Amino acid sequence: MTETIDTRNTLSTLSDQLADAVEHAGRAVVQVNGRPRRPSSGVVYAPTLVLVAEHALEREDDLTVETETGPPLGAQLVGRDPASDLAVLRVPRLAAEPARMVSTPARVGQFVLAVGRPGGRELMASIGIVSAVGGPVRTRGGMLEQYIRTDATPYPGFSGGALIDTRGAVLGILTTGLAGGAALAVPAALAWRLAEPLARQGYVPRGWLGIGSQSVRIPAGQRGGRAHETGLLIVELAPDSPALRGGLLLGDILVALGGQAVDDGEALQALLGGERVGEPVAIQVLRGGTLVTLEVTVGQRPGRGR
Amino acid sequence: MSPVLEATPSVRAGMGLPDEVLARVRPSIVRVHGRGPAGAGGVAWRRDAVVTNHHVIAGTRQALRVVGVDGRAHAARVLESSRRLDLALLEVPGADLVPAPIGRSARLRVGELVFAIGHPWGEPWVVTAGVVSGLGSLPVPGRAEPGSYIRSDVHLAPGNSGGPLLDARGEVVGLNAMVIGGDLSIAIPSDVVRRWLGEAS
Repeated sequence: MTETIDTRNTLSTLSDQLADAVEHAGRAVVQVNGRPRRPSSGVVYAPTLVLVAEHALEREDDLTVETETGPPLGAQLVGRDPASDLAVLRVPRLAAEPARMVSTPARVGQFVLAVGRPGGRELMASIGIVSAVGGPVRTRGGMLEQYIRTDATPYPGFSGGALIDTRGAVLGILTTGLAGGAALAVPAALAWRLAEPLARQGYVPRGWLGIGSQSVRIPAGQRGGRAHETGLLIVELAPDSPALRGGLLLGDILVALGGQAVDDGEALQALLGGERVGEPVAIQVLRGGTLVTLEVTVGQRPGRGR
Repeated sequence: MSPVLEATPSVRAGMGLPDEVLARVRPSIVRVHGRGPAGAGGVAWRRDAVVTNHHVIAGTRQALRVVGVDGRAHAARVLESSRRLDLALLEVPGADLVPAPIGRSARLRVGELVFAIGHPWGEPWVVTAGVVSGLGSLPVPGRAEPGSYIRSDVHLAPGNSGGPLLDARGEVVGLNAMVIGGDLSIAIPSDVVRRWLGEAS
């Protein structure tokens, strides 16, 4: 007995499903006019609130968004975060239903569609897979906890658009502005979470010590009785910085923060989340081969968007 | 070089056209030897006529040849050609081609699967897969007025020109014509070809 599978029908069904997914998700994808002649995209994530690509906003006034029909709608910038390349716009007259977020995180290899509205109000799409899920990664404005990489084509103006699964749920917010033009997405759960402080206070709180440092190898015998072989040599202290006020000195080697070992700058960034702002934290340094513990009150990272 | 059908080693090929769909449409896809050494694509519209791009045959002095998937070559001549639409109709007397199943491009939706078959860089009958990326009218370099084009993310290269863009049912919904910006593939909608040929669409 031979088993026959109607693959033609299967392929047509998949094709219809993909078009349905784009149509469904596309209702929450808007065109964003925030720079001359080159619109970008945005995703409606809550009533009247739109997540957009921070780097595509070259002005802070005279912002508009456009849906498939109707006049351009005036938008106000309520917050921007260069570290994640996300910004939030409020569009009082926007009636579009917010996008649906995926319930499970992106998996490497799964089919995805990139969806944007990059000009002429027209919805566009491309297909690919999730190529990688990684992070934390150092970005223009600091550190991004997690990212999705895709091989779906990011057409010009797709930044701020949606990376969706084959059912039309949003996996992440697309951007080519974080890593040399590569198509990345900020995972939806992270983007929605970052949008909260952006909408509330205009920036994402991130911890800051005010040091310049470089990773160094600590000679044996100068490790203060610890086993770790590397630490962060402090080569710069910003004036009036939390580190300076806490008693850190140039030449100290930072080896731990809040009880966690610190080998390099990325490890330090990962330990300086927004929840630490305003809180005292124990910092251990090697000073002349001796382990010294200092208490430093973590500050808020200065920067754009405050 | 014997004609072979193969998918590119792209992940998109994972959604490849099923064999029986390929087998049905393959005899209708030809190779047009006119301008350039690689040859371009063409679609058998009738048993003795092939549609391809105008730019494929423009300025050719040497005799045109149309080669089928069976490897047989036929002499061809231009019946009609439109520079504005970038379309050409070739007569291939006695070729006894299998007319391609022609679909309605007006029914296309953004996000649906499409497949290109052509001869990129001279490699014959290569299949690439993608989705419809956009459908609105589009200003095209070198054209005075915006036209109606199918945009897709299928990979095209020189040699794909004139070849078909197929939907998931294996019907011809467009004629691949060019690439914009390195990664946006442009096809002439099948309904535009129908109207140009004076067929009801």
